[in-house]
Amino acid sequence: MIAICLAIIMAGAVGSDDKVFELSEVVPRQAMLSGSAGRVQILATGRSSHGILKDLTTSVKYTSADRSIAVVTPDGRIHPVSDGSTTIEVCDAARSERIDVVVSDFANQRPVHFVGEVMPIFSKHGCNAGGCHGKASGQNGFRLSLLGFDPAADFESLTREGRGRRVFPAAPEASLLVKKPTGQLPHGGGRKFAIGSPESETLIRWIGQGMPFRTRNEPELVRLEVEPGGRLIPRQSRQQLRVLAFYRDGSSSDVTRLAQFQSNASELAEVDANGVIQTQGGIGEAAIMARFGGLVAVARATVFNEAQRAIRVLPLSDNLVDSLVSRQLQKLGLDPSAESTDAEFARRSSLDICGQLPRPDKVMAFETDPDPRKRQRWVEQLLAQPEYADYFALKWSSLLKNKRGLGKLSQPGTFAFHGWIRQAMAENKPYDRFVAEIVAARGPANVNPPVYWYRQTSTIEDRADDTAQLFLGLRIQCARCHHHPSERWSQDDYYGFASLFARIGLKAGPDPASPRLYNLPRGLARNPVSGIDRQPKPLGDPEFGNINSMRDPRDDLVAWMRKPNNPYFARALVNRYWKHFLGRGLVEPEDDLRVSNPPTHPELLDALAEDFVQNGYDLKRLVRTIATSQAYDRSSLPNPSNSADRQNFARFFTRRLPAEVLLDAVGLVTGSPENFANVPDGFHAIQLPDDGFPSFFLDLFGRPKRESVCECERSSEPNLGQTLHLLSSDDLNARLTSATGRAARLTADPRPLIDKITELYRLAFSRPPTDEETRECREFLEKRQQAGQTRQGYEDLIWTLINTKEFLFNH
Amino acid sequence: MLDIFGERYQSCDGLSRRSFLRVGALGLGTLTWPGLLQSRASERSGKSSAHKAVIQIILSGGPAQSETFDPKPEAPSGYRSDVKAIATRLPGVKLSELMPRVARSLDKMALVRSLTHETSDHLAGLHWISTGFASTQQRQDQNERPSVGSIVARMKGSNGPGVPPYVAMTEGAFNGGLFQGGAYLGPGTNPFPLNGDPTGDLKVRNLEPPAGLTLDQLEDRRDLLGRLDTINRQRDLSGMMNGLDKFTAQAYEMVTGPNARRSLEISREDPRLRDRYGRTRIGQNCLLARRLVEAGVTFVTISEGNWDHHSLVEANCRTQVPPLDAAIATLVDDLADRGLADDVLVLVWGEFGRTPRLNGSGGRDHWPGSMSAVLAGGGLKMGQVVGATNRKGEQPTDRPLHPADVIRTIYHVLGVDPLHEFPNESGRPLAILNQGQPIAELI
Repeated sequence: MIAICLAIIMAGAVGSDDKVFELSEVVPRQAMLSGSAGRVQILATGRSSHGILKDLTTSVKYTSADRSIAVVTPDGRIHPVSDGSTTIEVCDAARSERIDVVVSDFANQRPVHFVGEVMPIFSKHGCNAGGCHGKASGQNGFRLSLLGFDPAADFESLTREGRGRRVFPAAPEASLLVKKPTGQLPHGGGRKFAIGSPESETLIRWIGQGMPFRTRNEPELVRLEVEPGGRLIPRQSRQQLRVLAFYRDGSSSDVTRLAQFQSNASELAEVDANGVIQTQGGIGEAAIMARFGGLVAVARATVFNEAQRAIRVLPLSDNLVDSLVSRQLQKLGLDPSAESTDAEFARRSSLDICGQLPRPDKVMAFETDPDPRKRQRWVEQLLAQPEYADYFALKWSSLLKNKRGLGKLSQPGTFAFHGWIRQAMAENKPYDRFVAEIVAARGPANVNPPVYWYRQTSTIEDRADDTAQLFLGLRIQCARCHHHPSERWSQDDYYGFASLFARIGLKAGPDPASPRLYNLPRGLARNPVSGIDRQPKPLGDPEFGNINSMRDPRDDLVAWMRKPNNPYFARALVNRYWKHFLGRGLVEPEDDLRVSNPPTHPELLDALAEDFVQNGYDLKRLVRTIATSQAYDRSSLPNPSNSADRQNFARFFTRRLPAEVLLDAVGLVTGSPENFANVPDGFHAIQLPDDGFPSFFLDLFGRPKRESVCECERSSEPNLGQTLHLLSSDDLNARLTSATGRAARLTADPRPLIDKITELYRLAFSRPPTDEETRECREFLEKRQQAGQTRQGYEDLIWTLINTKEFLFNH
Repeated sequence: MLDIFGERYQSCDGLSRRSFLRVGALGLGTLTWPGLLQSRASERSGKSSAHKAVIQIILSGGPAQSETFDPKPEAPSGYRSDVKAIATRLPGVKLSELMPRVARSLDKMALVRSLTHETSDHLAGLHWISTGFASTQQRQDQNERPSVGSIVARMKGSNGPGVPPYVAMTEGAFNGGLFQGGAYLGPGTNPFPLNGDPTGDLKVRNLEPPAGLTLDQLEDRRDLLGRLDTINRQRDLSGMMNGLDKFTAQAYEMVTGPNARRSLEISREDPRLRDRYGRTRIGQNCLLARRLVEAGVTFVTISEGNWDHHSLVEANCRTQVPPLDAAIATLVDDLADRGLADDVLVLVWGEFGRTPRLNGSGGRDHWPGSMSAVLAGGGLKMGQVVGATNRKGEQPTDRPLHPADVIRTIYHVLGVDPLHEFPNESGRPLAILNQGQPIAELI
């Protein structure tokens, strides 16, 4: 009772302080508007007595001292009216601030900048998007470069093509470029802006001026900034952004109106065309990308739980993960779920580290072990099991596309490559060496199996793409054909990287499926747009000099990857492993590290990567760190505070067992494991070396086809076919009714019913049944017994356990 | 909660107490309850759409309109097809000579010749016709919006017990019948895949209980599962546990009820009728689709490929069009013979048309500028042609229409409110289809 009153009082007190925000900052202090289309966005910020900031842009009052010079819309946008200067007063009940405003060139004498003013219109309204004029074939004969990365081509297309109908300098208003988007002529894309809008005025003026391409003294854009760059925002709130462009000559301008915006997490925050963030119901970090003139800037919106008052503080630990995850939870107002039970932890970690259910006797010993560090010891034990190597060899063998592409002939190769991968996992080969031996593989494949990796791809570009995505977490394919739309990679960057793979030669070895990899004396990749061969160069390293042409450029690539300060190599790996255990990457998807897709926990990603590098790229150490962290140790059962958490690890995120793990688990519980052809009996699904083992079950439950280096190829999405298979397939029925299966054995087993029920529960769920469950099972089995169907009773019970979510999920 | 739902059930339809208990025991309500309520409500309000169904045939790859539904015998050489045009049941309307049977039954169909959209990419085009929305191509193999079939599955449910609302036959389709899933409506609205070989005696895997396993035993198991499968569903934020519950309920109806299995026993059909459909995959799939809608399936999508004829388009069409001709014409006639013409809408289309001009390999390339669709039945006005293309077949000269217009017509037939909103993953409410208009000429 006392606690409830206290809570109410606290809520009241905090509420009153939190709801009063006084105007504390107004930007900009000076606004320079040039031309009649110039606009400047005001940002008004309030502060509560607790120091919490809030966007007041739409709630403050704006007053222009001279409405014949400039006016302000209620959402804080300054419009010019005529040349001159004035001030704008911004005030709330408590305070007032002034902005000096200068309007120049309202009559628009200055030449329109094609790149800085015309092209942004195409970007903002999606004209140059991939679905419209930006696609390679253009739209109805009119083609623009995708997202405006090629101004010269766009200029050419507008002014020289289309039989001159697109622009009429003599009567600019009659140009197709004006009539189509304003809807005066039928336009497949619909009406994009109105006649008289700043957009149409700018286009008309540009055409009227004779379509200048680059004017004298036109400043070159060098940098883009978005304000505020990061902010804590409550749920269901609004935050205005403003975007500033900085030019080589030191000038800057407000381009909020011209920029495009995009959120990377729409369940947390959405953003509209005016740069207004609207936070949603989710909690966590969203990145809002602003794009203008080929540059990208990112604002972080940290959406917190404004209703949460207190966070359970967890004990200090020596695990580097814990404090960094906890700090974010406190910042966001998310209360972590309780610690998992020993049984939950044992099952979870065994599934994630060894790809199999834990043995009941081991779990029981673990439960009764009084050692406070028993979880560390448990993880250690798992890492020492051969199944650890099996399971992670399965993971890497899938990612490395170890597939029988050439049919039976390629089987010795896939087996050898899998064996090599498995050996590397078993001996805990340092990850940098593991990758170096793959990326720079050479010689005969039958002697040096990593050469088989190069058998799976045949073009320079595919090799570059796969290497970047798998080992660097970079998806660079976009830059094959155009500048990457949300990254800094240009086509020159892309083909420089591709040139690292341009001197690979493959010769038939002892058989056509076992090639020998050798170095071609020369070879470069060519940027197809510029027609220029690019010198080999890793991504984003300006200090990287020219590569000695006597060496295999892949050796330099590997050396670059292994530099301790490489920004991608270690981060990509620790992020991949983090996701393996926690169900979600710190960057998500895990192989899409991008400025515009920042990590949810940047310091954690850095700390894990640093620890990984400093300790010799030790994969087992990384697994140990993650698997013994508090984040991995939480119950999946949510509390009221974290029930909507999808990215902060306040609770364990459940997932369905992967296909191979599930098949092995079904085999274990039914006592009738799968027998794969051409391998010894007792061979588990997680041990399969390649894709050449037909299995309806594995395909149905989403094993990857090994055609992509993307982890996403593995599907855990449920479908009715899977359910039907578990419900009434011959396959499962044969396992349940097998004469050597568990049901048959339990039937002949003289132990009391309760022991046998407990055995089944411990096998399937790694825990004993509750009293209620024991009672249900016993009644069921006894009923069957009385009907003379004892064995059928066990079959039914095992079937039931397999069909529960508790069995099918890792939780 | 359950009691309230139970009352609701008893008061507004004939579902037995027994069937409700079964459904309730498996926790069906959580995911499908809104959908169920909705479909009951719309059945009460609009009698006309109560038992309507749709059979959609997607000719994936993009069929050439000039060799099928929009022949251009007057086009200049280099454009003109060697495939001739023939007269049809409709005065003045011509079809490709490869479609004599459709030509004879054209009075039972409506041709739309002026469809157009803006993408010449297979995946983007397939996304467009499958969902009504252009794709932003951020997801490579999943639709960003729910497929039409998934929307219908959620809004209408099945027309009969023990069958899924939405079935897809995509085997052998170009691109594997992509983009037919439920997107943010969740995996529970994904189509039930039928990937057997319908030309033989189709047996659908896992639909018949294994030998020795009785239906009673299955029922007992279900009962026990209801009592033991008690893990707190709140543990799972992905919605998968709830989705599986729904699948379990559906799977049970399919296996233990007679309806689904009987509808799939294609060998029960008169062999002469099977011959008329054609003993081809498209022919037997169409026959199967008819059996499915009779059993209560609301939406069937048949993906039939490969129509991506970049070379030798005429020769390829001479092989591929006649089986299609037989299948469509027989399906439409068969539905009419059974008095189902007004209840079942048949739609045939592809992701785009093909270039009016022949390329150097005697093929035609991707052409979203003009394409044709066939609609039949569903209570729409038949025996007409909507829209026309120019002499070469490059673009509409009359009534340019978009995929969204066709899909709005489907929703009109089924009584699906296109402005009804579903929240996406972020809780943002999105209208089912806020573009296009039902094609006025057909209504």
